[in-house]
Amino acid sequence: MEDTKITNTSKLPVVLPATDIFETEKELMILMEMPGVKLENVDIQLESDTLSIHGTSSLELPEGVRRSHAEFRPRNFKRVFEIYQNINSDAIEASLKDGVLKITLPKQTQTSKKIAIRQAN
Amino acid sequence: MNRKNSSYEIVYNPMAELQRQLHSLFDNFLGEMPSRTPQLPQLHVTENENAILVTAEVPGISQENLEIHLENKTLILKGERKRETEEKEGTWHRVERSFGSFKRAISLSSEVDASKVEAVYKDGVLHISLPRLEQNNSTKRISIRNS
Repeated sequence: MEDTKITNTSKLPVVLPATDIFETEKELMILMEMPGVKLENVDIQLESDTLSIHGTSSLELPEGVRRSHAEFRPRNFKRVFEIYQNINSDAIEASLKDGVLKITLPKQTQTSKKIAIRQAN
Repeated sequence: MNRKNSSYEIVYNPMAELQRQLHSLFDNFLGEMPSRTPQLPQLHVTENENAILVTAEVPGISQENLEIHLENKTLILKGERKRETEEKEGTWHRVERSFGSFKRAISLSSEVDASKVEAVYKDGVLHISLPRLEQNNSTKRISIRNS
């Protein structure tokens, strides 16, 4: 497989991708439109409560063609969310299908923790 | 060709490009507004002397819900974006994507060979290559019948 990882993305315009967020008892699900983005060009980071999602789209064209019309260009999709839920960061899953990024963030299961009582001297 | 359909649009329109630029100026001015799913697929057209390449962004549409038709010099894209069925109990906190059917027609700059048109769908982007109909440039000699 050819290496399609995009390295220099800083010059591309940045847009906010259209996003749907669904919450169930067990998880948060994020669906984000990222047409033309390959999984290797997606970066997802969760730092404390901040979830950052970044993807870069590409458009491979043969040489020697002239552009006669353009409603879109290669671009950076960037979005940052504050997550006010305890997320099990080890169990986050992401997949891409038909240009839609799906991120599943399982909530940390609330287990009651027994507090040991020390004997005061 | 049915032009009554409101989604009919001619692509080679410099005014549309100007309008798009004005919109993007506004978008920049308004700052961080999330983009909604465009109701119509966003197009990118490139060409050379042999072929026309039409690229369309249609995120969230599965291949079986996409249709491509060619009527002379008009390429027609049809599709339906269906919401992922979510049977689980839950709450939608944010709904920015849009769903439903679309139809978009594109005027091509020349006649193309319908039998050689190829379409590939990948990562939510439809790539259609339309080889131009071969123009017979050589002068054709007309034989003269003896009456």
